[in-house]
Amino acid sequence: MIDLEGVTKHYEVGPVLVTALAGIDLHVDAGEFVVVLGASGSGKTTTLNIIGALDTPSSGKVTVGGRDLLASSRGELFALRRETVSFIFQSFNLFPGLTATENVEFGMDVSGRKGAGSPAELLDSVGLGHRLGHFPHELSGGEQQRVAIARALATGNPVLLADEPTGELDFKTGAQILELLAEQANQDRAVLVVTHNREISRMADRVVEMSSGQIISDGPPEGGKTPLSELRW
Amino acid sequence: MSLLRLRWMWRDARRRWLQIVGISFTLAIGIGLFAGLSSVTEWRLLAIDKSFDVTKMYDLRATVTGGSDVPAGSLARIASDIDGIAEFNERLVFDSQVDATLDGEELLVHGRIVGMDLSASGSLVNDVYLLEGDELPSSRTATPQVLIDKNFAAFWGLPTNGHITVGGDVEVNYVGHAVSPEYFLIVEGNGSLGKSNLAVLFAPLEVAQDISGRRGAVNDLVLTLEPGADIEEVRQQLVDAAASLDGALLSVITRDETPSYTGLIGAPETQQGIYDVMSLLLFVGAAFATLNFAARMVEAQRREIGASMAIGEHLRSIAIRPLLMGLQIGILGMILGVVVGYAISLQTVSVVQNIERLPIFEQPFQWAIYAQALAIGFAVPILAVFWPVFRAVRVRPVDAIRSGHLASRGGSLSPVISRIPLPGRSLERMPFRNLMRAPRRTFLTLLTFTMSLAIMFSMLGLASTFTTTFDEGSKELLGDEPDRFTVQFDSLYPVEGPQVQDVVTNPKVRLAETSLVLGASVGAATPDEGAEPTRLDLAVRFVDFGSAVWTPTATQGTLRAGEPGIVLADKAARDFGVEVGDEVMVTHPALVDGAFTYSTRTMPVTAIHPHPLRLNAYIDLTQAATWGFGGLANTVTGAPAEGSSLNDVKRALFGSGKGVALVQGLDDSFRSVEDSLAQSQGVFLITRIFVIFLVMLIAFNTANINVDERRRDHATMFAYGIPVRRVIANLSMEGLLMGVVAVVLGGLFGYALLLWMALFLMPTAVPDVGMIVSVRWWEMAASFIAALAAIALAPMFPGRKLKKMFIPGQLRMME
Repeated sequence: MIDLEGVTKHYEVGPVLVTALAGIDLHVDAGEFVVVLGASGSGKTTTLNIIGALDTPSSGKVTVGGRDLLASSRGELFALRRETVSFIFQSFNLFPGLTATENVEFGMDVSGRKGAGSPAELLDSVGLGHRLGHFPHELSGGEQQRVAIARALATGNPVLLADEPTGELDFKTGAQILELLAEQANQDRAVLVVTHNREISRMADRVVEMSSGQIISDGPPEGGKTPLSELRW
Repeated sequence: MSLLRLRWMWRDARRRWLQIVGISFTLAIGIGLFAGLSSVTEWRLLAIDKSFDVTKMYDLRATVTGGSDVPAGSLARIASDIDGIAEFNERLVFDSQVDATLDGEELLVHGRIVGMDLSASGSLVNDVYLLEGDELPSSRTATPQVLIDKNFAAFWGLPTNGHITVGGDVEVNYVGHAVSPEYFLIVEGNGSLGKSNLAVLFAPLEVAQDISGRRGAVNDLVLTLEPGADIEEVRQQLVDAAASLDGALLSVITRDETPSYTGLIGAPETQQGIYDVMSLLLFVGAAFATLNFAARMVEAQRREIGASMAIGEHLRSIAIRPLLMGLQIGILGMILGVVVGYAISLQTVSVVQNIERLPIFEQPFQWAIYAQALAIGFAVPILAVFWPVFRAVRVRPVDAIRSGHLASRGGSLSPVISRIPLPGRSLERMPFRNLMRAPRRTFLTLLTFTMSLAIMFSMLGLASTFTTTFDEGSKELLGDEPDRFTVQFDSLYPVEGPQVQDVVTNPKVRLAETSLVLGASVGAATPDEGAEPTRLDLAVRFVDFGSAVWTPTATQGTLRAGEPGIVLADKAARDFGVEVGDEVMVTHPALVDGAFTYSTRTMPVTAIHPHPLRLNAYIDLTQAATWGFGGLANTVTGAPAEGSSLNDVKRALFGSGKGVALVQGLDDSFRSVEDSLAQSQGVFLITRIFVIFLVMLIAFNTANINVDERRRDHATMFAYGIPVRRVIANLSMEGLLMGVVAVVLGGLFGYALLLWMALFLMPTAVPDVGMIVSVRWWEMAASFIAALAAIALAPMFPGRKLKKMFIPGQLRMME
């Protein structure tokens, strides 16, 4: 589903050339729940942005859903974001002018897929069946993130990319969100969660740890996959 | 102020320069329009006063009535015998045809020769002011020399020197272009004559006498009064003294009854009412727009303000950056405002100069008005930043710096809006939701668009109202014969006499009918109790009510041939407060035993006609005998014979030399009233151009600020694969929604404004014309569609920003 081969990314910050990614290789299959772990500046978010076609690598090869991103036109990259990948952001990025239902409808509308269920069903599936007509500012942080997940799910896209999805949430709410994301992997989606929180990585199928733009380890979490109820942060 | 703050301010300015310039320009248009249009009256009146002073405009003018004249010196003797008269000048003023054909282009027009005593190096009263060319000799020369009125000369592009033919066979040289106070503005009372078809020639008295063949005759006296003299007393003495003139009557008018003077003095103030309304509304609109935009820019700094509070910065230090931004907008707005205002003034001057040929035309900078506009303009952006700063510093620092969901707030209408079912997909609903999410800013933006569009609507409406009014007037006068013309004689002649018959039987003329036009003072016979009775000097036309060629249209009542009764214009009837069946009191000239006298009688109103000019009144031709004018005529109406044009008729009658003073299209004189309104039209056009600019600027600023404020929303949309063009389309749709509402509200408000201006303000500016309010919908629709297009297309400009957006950077933005 996702293939990164020798991917590098350099930024020019004034006269300084900053290396964000120093030639990484990564393969993620459908149905995998992968946590990308690393400290701030390790390159994890850059990796996510490149997979999601929000950013372009300086070199290397990126294939997502069978599409070579470096060989794709701008229009094709937009299409990839509509049809293949969906984002969940740390700060939710819900549209403040749309209700919860309409935010979810938005996801459905952009992909043009109807198979994921109705917006009300999707919101109900994330525990928000009673908040359909509410605007984002009327919802708590956890509720907003659940709406964001429902929006991402509504696209029906096979790749789910989550950037620090629990960063703004308390433990209990964060745990609920992770549970929801983990369920998506069980539905044959590739789920990539970026976090700096090592505790979260314990519930993943696979943990990719990054440091200074390189992957320093890739495998099952240390001590094996841990049930959500045992996590603490 | 620390160096750090200065650097910070400079960076702010560099980052937001486009928005600051855009907002400043919006404010500048408001300031400029307000200052430019509000000061029109000030400098116009100044120029008018100076021009009348320098040319020594008369206080009273006495004219021998009925086209007759008296021996030179007799009017001077009368003036010498009356106390209170300072200076006087005898004149010979007569109408004749003028052939000013130039370079083969035929130009046969109505001429007026004004002969005056120039022996005191110019006239002591009503002097002629030379604008171009040579001074006149004070007496005869081999070939008569005259000066030609600048209005006419400029209209037809006549050179400074040339020759023309007067009265069919008198060759005259004109040696310069000049103006005189009676003709600064070529608009006259009874069916006026415009600058295009009245050639006024100024000449020494002897020369005028030679040209007219009336050696030693005068028919006019102009005089100024000594300070403190009672004008009414002098006037009465002049009228009474006419008894010594052997059957002649003197008609005396004051300066205030002279159309050129009243038109010039009265128009600026009445037109100013319209300019004031327009400029004030636009200024308020621009000020609200500035308030809205500046406040939004400060609101965008809310988090920075919170951070400053968190580190314990003094409130006054926190406020300084937003205030500096307000200051930048205020100062730039003031500078640009002066430029815009001056540009408007310059354009207005050129419009006014085309209509009013004043010898002195100064336009001193109107410091007081500009100071007022600039002070308000400067205060607006400063005030605009105060409110959001005040709000920002009132919240707890922890709330101000908080990011994410706890920071976001919705509009107060959200609970209501969530219940409004909207059709379409989520993306299609987004523009409407965005508008409703921030009702205050939507309202302010809407308000500015609405005000601008209302002004545009009312100005377009006024233009079409003028056109319709004059078109309808022409239609009424011309009937089924658009080529109808009028021949006016220089005096009264027997209908069967050679002067009239030569015209009636001329082979170039068909459908000839004789008529009589006399001035009369008319008012309601029994005015409403307590109301100030209205009396007007009307042009009473005796026409054949049984004619198959033309009769006035009776919109109320009926035309009664052979019966006494008067047909009034609808506007006159309304002003008098009379209806069909009521009586009016008419004071008119009468011919008794060959001598002119005045007589007063009551007459029934038998019908109302629809012509917009209230001065036109009609009586059946058979009734002329009751006034003593039976069998006499001073006008013939007709149409060119088959294969002939109006110019052919003019040429045929021009050389006759038998009392023909004027041949012109029937509606020409009426059309010239339209000229007097051209000035307002010109100012409206200038204002309209700036209104369009204002609408575009507001649309541009709105789009630009929207793009900045919603960059995270847009980044999210891009992350979900929504193309840039779709995001721009959404922004356009948002503008369009607002534009449509603004068009509807602006249309309604503009129509109300139009009615108010046309029915309440215009009657004071142009009291003789009953305006027919009309809106050319296609023109209005085209303008509104253009405005809507400008509003909808404005998001294209910041589209580049969207295309170049670094999406990840915006997505991780915490605010």
